Amino acid sequence: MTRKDMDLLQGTLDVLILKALEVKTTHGYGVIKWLRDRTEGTLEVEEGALYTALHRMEKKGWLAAEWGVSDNNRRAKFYCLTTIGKRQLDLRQENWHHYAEAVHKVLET
Amino acid sequence: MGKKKHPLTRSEVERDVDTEIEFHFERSINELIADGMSAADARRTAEERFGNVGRYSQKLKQTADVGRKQRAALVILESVFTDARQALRGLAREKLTAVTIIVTLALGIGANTTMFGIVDRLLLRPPPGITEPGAVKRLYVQRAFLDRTITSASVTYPDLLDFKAAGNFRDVAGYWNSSLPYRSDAAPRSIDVVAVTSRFFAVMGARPFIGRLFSTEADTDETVAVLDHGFWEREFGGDERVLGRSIHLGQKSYTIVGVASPGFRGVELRRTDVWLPALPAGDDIMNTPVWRTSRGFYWLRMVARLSPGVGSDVAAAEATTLHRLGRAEDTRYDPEATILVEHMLAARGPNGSAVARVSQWVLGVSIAVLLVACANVANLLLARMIRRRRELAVRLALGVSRSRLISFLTMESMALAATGGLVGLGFAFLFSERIAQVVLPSLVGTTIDQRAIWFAITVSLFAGIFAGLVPTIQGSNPNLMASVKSGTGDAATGDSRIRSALGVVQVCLSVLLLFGAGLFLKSLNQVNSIELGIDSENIMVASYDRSGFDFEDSQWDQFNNRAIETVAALPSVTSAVGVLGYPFGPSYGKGIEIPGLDSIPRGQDGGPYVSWVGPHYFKTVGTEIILGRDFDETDTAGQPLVVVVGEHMAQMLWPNESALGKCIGFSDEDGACMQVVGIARDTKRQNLTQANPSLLYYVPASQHDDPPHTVMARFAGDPTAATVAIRRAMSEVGPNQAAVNVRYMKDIISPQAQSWTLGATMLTAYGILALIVAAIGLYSLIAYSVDQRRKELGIRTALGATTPKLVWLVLRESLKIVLTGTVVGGGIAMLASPAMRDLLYQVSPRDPMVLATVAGILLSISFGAAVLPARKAAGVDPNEALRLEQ
Repeated sequence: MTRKDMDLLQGTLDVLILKALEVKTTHGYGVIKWLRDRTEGTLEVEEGALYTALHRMEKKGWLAAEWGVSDNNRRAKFYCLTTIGKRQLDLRQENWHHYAEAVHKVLET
Repeated sequence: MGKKKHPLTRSEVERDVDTEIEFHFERSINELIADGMSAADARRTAEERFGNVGRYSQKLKQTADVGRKQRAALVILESVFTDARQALRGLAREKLTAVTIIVTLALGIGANTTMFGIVDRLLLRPPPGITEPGAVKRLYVQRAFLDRTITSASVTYPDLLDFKAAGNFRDVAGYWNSSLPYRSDAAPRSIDVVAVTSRFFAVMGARPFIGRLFSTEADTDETVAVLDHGFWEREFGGDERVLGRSIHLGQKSYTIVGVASPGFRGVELRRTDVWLPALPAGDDIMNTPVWRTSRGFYWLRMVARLSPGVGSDVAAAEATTLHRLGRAEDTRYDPEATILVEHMLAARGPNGSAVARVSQWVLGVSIAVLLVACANVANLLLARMIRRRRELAVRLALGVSRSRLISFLTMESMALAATGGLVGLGFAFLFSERIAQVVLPSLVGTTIDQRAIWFAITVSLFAGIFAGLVPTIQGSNPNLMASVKSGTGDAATGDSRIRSALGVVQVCLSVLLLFGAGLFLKSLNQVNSIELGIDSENIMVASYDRSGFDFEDSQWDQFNNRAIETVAALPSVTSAVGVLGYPFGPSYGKGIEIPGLDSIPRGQDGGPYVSWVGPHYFKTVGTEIILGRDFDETDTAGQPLVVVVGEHMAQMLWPNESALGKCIGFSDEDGACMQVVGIARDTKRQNLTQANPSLLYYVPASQHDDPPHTVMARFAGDPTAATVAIRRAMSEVGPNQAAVNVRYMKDIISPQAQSWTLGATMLTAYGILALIVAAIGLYSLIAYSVDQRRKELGIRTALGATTPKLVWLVLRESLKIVLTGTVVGGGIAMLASPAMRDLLYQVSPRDPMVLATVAGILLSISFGAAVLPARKAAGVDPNEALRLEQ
C-alpha cells in the first residue's frame, strides 16, 4: 500500500467514525459494530487503528469522551460528536460525495 | 451516564486505556461466542481483528498522556486567570483599601527605583563604551603637603611619561576635563573638552562610532579632534561628512577624525563635547607650554589598563618605584609619594565624595520606606482577610484546597504590587531627573533605564510576596473553621497580635528615618549658618575665558578695566570691583616680611594669602571692616602703600597690640612698607567647613603689578537677570568672540553643601513618606480594632463606662504600639547612627534634641490616628452593639 492510499484510508476512517457517532453516542466497540453491520464486513480495518483514530479526534476536539456504564453494566468510554466534529463530518461528507460523483462519471463513460 | 473528570496522573491515563481495551475485548469475544464460536477461537479472532494489542495500547497511552499534560497546563492557567480576575474584582469592591495599598506601594517602589538609578550610575555600573572595565584603574598620588598627607588624582605630564615604562600597565594615559571657547556660526560659547594623551582610548578600549580615535604610541602635536556622539548629532546633525572638516576651539583649528561611540565619556560622569590631544590642547588650556616639561604643573588625571593577570597592588608598587625614580632630581615636592591604583569610578576611589556615600544612605533609607509600606500593606490585607474570614472559611469547607487558597491570596497581593510597581515607576520617571540633578549635576540623560526598570520589577515582586506573606498564611489557616463556628472570637487575638507587631515595625522604621532626617537637617542648618565673611547672596563673579587668545597682559587689563566700569554702570549692579584672588576662587600665597618678625607664621591651610583688589572691595563683597578703613580711589600708585589684614592674621602677627599702622612688605618688592589701614572680618578661603580661619590680607591692585582677572559685582534683584546683563555688558567691551563666565557666588559655594542638602532633602522627604504611611497604618489598625470590639465596648457602656474611659481604652492601644516602636527605633538609632558621624556637620549622631523631636512627632501621630476611632468607640450604642453577632 502506498503512502497516498494510507492517507485516503485514514481520512475515510475518520469520516466513517464521525458518521457512526453522529447516529448515536457510543463506545469504541459500538462504533466498530455499527460500521461492520453497515458495510456487511467489506471494510476491513484493524480495530486498534480505530481506537487510535478515536483518541486522535478526541484530542483534536472533534469528539468528546465520557466514562459511563454500558448496557451490560460495565464501565466503558463513550464518545460523542462535538460541534467541531459535526462540522468536520459535514465538510468531509460533501467532499466525498463530490469525489465519488466524479469517479462515478468517469467510470460510467 | 455518570461523569468522570479527566485523568490527572499518568497511571490514571494508562488505567483508562487498559479499561477501554479490556471492555472492547470482552464485548468482542462475547459476541463471537454468541455467534457460536468456542471461547478460544473467539479470543483468537478478536485479537486478529484488533491487531497488535501491545503496540496499539502503548500508542494510545502515549497520545492520551500528552493530552493529559496539555489539559493540566490549561487547567493551571485557567485557575490563575480565575484567581486574578477574582482578585481584581474583589479589590474593585473595596476601592479605598485597594487605592491606599497601591499608593503606599507605589511610593515605596518609586522611591527605591529613583535611588537605585542614581546609585547604579554613581557607584555600580561601569561607564558606557569601556571594554573589560575591570582592568581599567584610576591612579592617585598620595603625598605630603604642608603637615598633612593628601591623596590627589592629578599628576604632572613628566610623571605620566614615567609610568609608560611600567610593565604591569598595558597602557596608561592622562586626561583633563576643561572648556574652550568654540567658534561656530552661532555666538561663541565655552564647550566641554577633554584633553587626552595618545593612549587614552587604548586604555578605555573604546571604539569609534565613525572615523578613528587617537592611538599613536607617543603624543604628537597633530591638531585632530574626536567628537562626542551627542555633540556630533546636535552640532552637525549626525552628518558623516564631518570627517576631515575642522573645528575651531580656542586658538587652534582641529581636524575632525572621528566620532566616539554613543554615551562614551571616559571614566568621568561629566558631559563631554570634544576630545582633543593633550599636547596642542594643553597649551591652550594651561596658557603656557611649560606644563610639558615641568614637574610642578599637577593637572592630568591618570587612568591605566592593567596587563592581564596583574593585581592592583603589584601595579601600584611598580608605579610607585617609577614615580620616585622620576622625581629623584626634583625634590621640591614630596619625593616619597606613593601611587595608588584604585577603582575607575571616582566615587569609589579614596576621595569618594560625600554625595556618593549619602546616596547610599538614601538608598538604604528608601528600602526602609518600602519595608514600612510593605508592613502597612500586610496590615491592610490582614484586616481585609479578617473581614472576609467567613467567605474564606466557607471556601475551605467546600473543599477548596489550601494551596488553591494560597494561590488565590498571593494573586491578590501580587496584583496589588504589580499595579503599585507600575505607578511607582511612573513616580520614578517624574522625579528621578530632578533628584539626579541634585546628586549628579553633570550627569547627562535619565537614570531610569532598563536596569532601573528591572530593579523596579524585582522590587515589586518581592514587595508582593512580602506584603502578602502574613495575610496569606493567616487567611489559608485551616483553623478558620473553628473561628467561624465560635463567632469572631479567639483567632482574632492572634491576628491582632500580628497586626500590632507590624504596626510597631512601621513606627520603629519611621523613627529611624526621621531621626536620620533630623540629623541631616540640623547639619544643613549648621552649614547654612556658617559665617562666610562675604555676602554671597548678592555677588556675581565674572571673567573672560582667556584660553585661546593671544593678547598681551596689558591688553587684558584694558578689557578688564572697561568691563569693571561697564558692569558698575549697569542698573541692576550697585558696585563692581576688580580682583585677583577671592573667596571660594583662586588664592595666592606670597612671601612677605614684617619688621621685627623673624618668621611669618603659617595658617592651618598655608598662607598667608593675598588678594589684589580694587577700591571699595570690602563694601562691595560685604566683608565687615572691624577697624580702620576700606580701600578707596585715593589708594593709587603714587600714594603711600596700604594693606588690609584679616582679623586672624592681625591676631597672629601682632597678638598684643593693634595692627593698625604696622608694616607688611612683599619679599619680592624689597619689603617696601605697606601700612595696615584696616582690619577685616575673616572670610572662608575655599572650604565652606574649614575649621580654622586662614591668614588673609588685601592690597590695592593699583599699587602693584598684579592686575585683576575677575570682576566682582554687587547686584540687586533677580540673579538670573543680573547674570545675563553682566554677560552682555562684558561681551560688548571685551575681545571679539570671547566667552564670558558669569557665576553667582551662591552657586559657587552651594555644591560644597550638596551632601547635606541631599541628605536633608531626601531623608526628610522619605521620612515624611514613611510617617504618612505609618500613620495610615496605625489609623486602620485602631479603627479596625474598635470595630472588632464593638460588642465589648457596648457592654462596657451598658455597665456605665464613661466616655473618657472609653476614649482612653482606644488611645491606650495606639500609644502602646507607638511607644514600643519609638523605644525600639530610638534604641536602634542610638546604636547605628555613629556610623554616619562623618557625614554630619557639627551635630552629634546621638543628638538628644533630634530624638526628642522625633518622639514628639510620633506621639502626636499616635493621638491623631486614634482620635476618630476613639470618638466612634465613645459613640457605640450598647443596644445595637449587643445585637451584633448573636
